[in-house]
Amino acid sequence: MTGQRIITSITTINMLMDTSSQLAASTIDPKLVARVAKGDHHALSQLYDQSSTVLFSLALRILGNREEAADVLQEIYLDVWRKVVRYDVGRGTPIAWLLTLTRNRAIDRLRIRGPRQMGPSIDDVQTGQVTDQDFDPFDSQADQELQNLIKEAWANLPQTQQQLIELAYFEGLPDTEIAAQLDQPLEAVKTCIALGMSQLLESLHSYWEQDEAV
Amino acid sequence: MTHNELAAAVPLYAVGALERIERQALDVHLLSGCIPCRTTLKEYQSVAVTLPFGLNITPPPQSLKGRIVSSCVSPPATELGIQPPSKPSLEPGEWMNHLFPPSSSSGSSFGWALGMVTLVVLIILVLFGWNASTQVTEGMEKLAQLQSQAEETGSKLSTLQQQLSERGETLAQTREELQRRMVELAEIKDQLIQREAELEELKVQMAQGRGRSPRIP
Repeated sequence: MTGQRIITSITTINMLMDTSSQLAASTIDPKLVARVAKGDHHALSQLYDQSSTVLFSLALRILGNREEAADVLQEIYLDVWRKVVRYDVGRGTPIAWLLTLTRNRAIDRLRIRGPRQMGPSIDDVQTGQVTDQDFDPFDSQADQELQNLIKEAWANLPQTQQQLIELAYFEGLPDTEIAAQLDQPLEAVKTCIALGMSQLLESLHSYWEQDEAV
Repeated sequence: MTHNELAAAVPLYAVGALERIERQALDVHLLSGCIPCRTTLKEYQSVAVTLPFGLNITPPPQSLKGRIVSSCVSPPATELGIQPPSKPSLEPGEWMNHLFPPSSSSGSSFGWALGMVTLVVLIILVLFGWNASTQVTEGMEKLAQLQSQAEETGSKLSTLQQQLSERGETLAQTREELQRRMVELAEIKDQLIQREAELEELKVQMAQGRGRSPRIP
C-alpha cells in the first residue's frame, strides 16, 4: 500500500465514521484549498478552522514561542491566499502539504534565530503549555483518533528512538549533528532513526489495514 | 552511493534527518525514476506527517484568525510592497488572463484586448505568409540546382560512352594487328625450317667432297 493510499483510506474511513469530519484537519478537501487560492474568503476561514490548531502546535513545538509560531501561520495562510505557494494534489493531502510548509518555515526561522525555548514534546501531555484549558483542541473525532493512534505507536518506541526522531523532525537537525550532539556513532544514529520510523510505519499500517477491513 | 545505501536513507529523508549532500543524492535517485524508493518514501512521509498529531495540541491565539482575514481583505500584495513570485508556468486556462484580464470589465479594456488579439493574429498571418513564400523560393532554388546537377551527370555519362566506344575500336585494331603478326611469324618459321634443311644437305655434300681429295696425287 502506498502512502497516498494510506492517507486516502484514512480520509475515507474517517469521513464515514465521523459526522464532524468536515472540521477535521486530516480530512481537508483539496477543493477547499483551490477555492482559497481563487479568493474565496469563506473557504479561507474554513481552511483556518480545520488546520490552524495542528499547524500552530507544530510551529510552537519547533520554535517554542507563541508569537513566532503565530507569525509563521500568518505567513503560510497569506501565501496560500496570494498564491505564493500552490497546492499540487500529486504531492499528497492538503494537511500533509500545510504541515510540510509549516515545518520548513519554522525550522528556517529556528536556524536564523538560534537556540530556542523548548515547546511541548510529542507525549508530554502534562507539560502545561496549553494556555486555554477550556478549549477542546480537536473538535473532530477523526483528528482525535489519529492523535490516539500516533500517541500509542509513539509510546511503543524505545526512548532513544523517540529522542532521535524528535531531534530530526521537530528541531531540524541532520544525522551528523545529532550524532555529534549526543556523542554517538553516526551509523548508530542512522540505524536507530530508520528503525524507529520503520516501527511507526508498521504500527500505523496495521491500524489502517484493520480500519480498511472494517 | 549504491541503491541499497540510498534505499536505507529513505526513512531519514522523510523525517528530515539527512545532510544536504545526501538529500540531493537521494533526490537525484528519486528523479531518475526508482519506483520502489518512491513508494517507500510516500509511506514514510505519511508517517512523518502524522507526527504533529501526536503533539500536545495547542490552539492558536484567538486574534490570529482576525489578523489573517483582515490581511486578506486589505489591498493586493503589490500594493503592500510585496512582490508576487515569478510564475514558473501558466495553469490551464490562465493564459486567457493575459488577453482578457479578469478584473477588466469595462468596454475600453475589452476593446484594447480585442485590438491586441487582432494585432497578434495579423502578425501571425504575416509571419506565416512570409515563411511560406520563403519556403517556395527555397524549393525552386533547390529544384534548379537538382536540374543542373542532372544535366552535368548526363553529359558526363555521354563522354564516358564515347570514350568506351573509342577504346573498343582501338582494341579491335590491336587484335587485327596481332593476327597479322602471327601469320607473318608462321611464314618466317616455315622459311627457317626450309633453310635448315638446305644447310643439312650442304653439310652432306661437303663431307662427300672431303672423302675423295686424298686420292689425288
